[in-house]
Amino acid sequence: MRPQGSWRYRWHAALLIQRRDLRSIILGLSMYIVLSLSLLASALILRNYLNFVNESGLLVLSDPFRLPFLIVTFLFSLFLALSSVTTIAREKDQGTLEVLFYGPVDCFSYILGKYLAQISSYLVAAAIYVCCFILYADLTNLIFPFSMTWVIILSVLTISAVIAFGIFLSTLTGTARAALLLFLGVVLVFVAIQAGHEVLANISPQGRYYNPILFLKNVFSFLNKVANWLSPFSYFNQGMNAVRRSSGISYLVMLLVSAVYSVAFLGLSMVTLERKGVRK
Amino acid sequence: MRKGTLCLPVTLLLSIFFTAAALAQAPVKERRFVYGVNAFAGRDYVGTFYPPTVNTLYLLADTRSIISPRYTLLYFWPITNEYKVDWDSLNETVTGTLEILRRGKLLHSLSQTKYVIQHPRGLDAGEVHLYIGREAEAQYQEFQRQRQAYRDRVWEYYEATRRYQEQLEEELARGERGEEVSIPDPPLEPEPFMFFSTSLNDGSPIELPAGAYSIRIRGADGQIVPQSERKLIVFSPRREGLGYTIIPQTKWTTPEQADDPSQVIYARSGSSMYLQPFVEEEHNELYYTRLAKPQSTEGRSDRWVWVHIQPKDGGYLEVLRDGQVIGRVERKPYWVKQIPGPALGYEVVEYQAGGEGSRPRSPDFEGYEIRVEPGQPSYAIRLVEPDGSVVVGSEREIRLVKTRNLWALYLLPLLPLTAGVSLTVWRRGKVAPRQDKVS
Repeated sequence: MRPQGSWRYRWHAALLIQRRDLRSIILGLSMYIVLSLSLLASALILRNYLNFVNESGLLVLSDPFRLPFLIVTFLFSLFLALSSVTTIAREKDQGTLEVLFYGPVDCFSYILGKYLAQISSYLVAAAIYVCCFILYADLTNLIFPFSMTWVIILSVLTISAVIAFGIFLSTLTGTARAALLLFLGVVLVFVAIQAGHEVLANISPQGRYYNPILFLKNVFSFLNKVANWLSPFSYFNQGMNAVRRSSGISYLVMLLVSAVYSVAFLGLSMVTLERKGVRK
Repeated sequence: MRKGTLCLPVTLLLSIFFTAAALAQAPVKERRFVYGVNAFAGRDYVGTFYPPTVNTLYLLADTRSIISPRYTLLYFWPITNEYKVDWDSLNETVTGTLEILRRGKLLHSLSQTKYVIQHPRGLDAGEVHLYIGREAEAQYQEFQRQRQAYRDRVWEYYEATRRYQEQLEEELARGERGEEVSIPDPPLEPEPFMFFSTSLNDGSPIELPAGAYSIRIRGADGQIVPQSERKLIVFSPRREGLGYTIIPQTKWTTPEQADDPSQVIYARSGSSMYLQPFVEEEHNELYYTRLAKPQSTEGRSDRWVWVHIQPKDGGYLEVLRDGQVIGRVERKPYWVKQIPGPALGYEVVEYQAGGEGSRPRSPDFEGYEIRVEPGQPSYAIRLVEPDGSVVVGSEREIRLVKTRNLWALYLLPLLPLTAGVSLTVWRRGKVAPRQDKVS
């Protein structure tokens, strides 16, 4: 049985870890490089839209900031995921984790602290992105609709799921390098499944080698369905579609699924860390 | 020599025979059960068939379609990777009733009846009717009567043309003889016969609310016909609305679509566009694709597609700025005038019947012209019925994109990097004196 007030101490410890990690992220250069690169990518997309209007005189779009926002979210989530994946493994590898656990820190407060630090840094980034997008909208007269608010809220939960997944992978491995390789492997599998599905789906039935491809097509279609349930970005994409179609129920489902995903992987991370221990 | 002369043609004949035998890869046709379906697709009927390999049929909810169980010759066509049917060789109606079940419970038992599908004003005119039972027979007879009347008119026209030619020749001969000539009026060609009708066929009319069902055929002997048990998905549109086909003046042959009400039309200052409104429905992409192409592997269940049902005639377009009506645009006909000379070029001008020689007999298109004037960042348009009521879902926003000072787009991404570098330099500057102190 835990002593009275232990939850208060755990929460306090989690907040301390969160502050320390957030400070480290914000004072580092990496976050700013990612912010700049992602904003540059979105600027290129917007410029492409404007060029199209200039050349053809017309462009019909429901939401010009949808793709740029998807890209900035994806790039920033990659940065956060890599950061989450390496953070625990590195501290374990260097022995810092063991020292921390001699103090008033346990698996719950440690994982929660790490998670809160990452999600707070995304909130900072999201605020910067929104400010920049509003400026982009003003510069170009492309509309930044109110419905983007729902997309931004959804992105917080998507990022939350990505971070939770990254932390989970980090607890599985003993070294930062192994954690990184595992993460990249998982990402590559997801990308390969999605790319394979898209490529095969576009092969015409009139093709000469269609029949053997049809089998592969079905296999990739099935794998893609599975990956759609595992990938937080799939939820994000589905949630964005729900916003576009004004489908409140689908949107809420995606919010809920992302939240459950985050909680599940954070819980798994705590259990894994507890079982594997904090020693190198 | 003679033997050699004979050998060559024989060898040639044999080689041609064997080559022909090798190339004649006639598909193997098998007598199989299929469902022939005339499915209502929102604006027209789509004739399809479901081979035994396709387990699920798709139909639109609350609209009448026809399901016709048939025995026919089925074969696989490797070029398109799909099954085809040879209706001409075998088109045998499967006698029995069509049973429709939901969760294993029998809902309807439908017998077959005569039906006919007709387009009174032509296949592309949009108007389509499905008649069943006695009405189908009566309408088909009416079609035959009208077709016969048209044939009679054509025959009369040819007769009149022949007589006209004879009269013309007589008049010419008279003219050559120096007599007075009177040129007769040529006969008028009859109006083309646009009425289209299918032949009278047998099938079960089916009209169901949206939902998942299963179907099967109970034969005359009371047994379920083998391979007739299939799933049936009846679906309805998710939304109904008004879409626009937008013809930009700069590329009139490649129009854009503004189907979704959330879509914004971005335009360049000074450009012109022509809007054609359409009544539309939004359907599940997978369901709608399979309704028209049952064997297709295209379409996704998590996507939606807007389907244009019919052009929206009548009414006028209102242009609004800050919620206030600032203009009214009427629908007008236009034609595309090619600019003479070797270089490519055209201009879209308003069509007026009659007039000069280069003008075509009919306009190239009709639409509501919108000119994007400079100085106004955005305005809205909406379609208004002749009675003054606004058509629901017809509002769209038109925004004028800015194309000046776009370098600033690339300046913004530099700001976080500058902030990050400044922060790093500042931190190093702060840490370095401390380290000096320690050392």
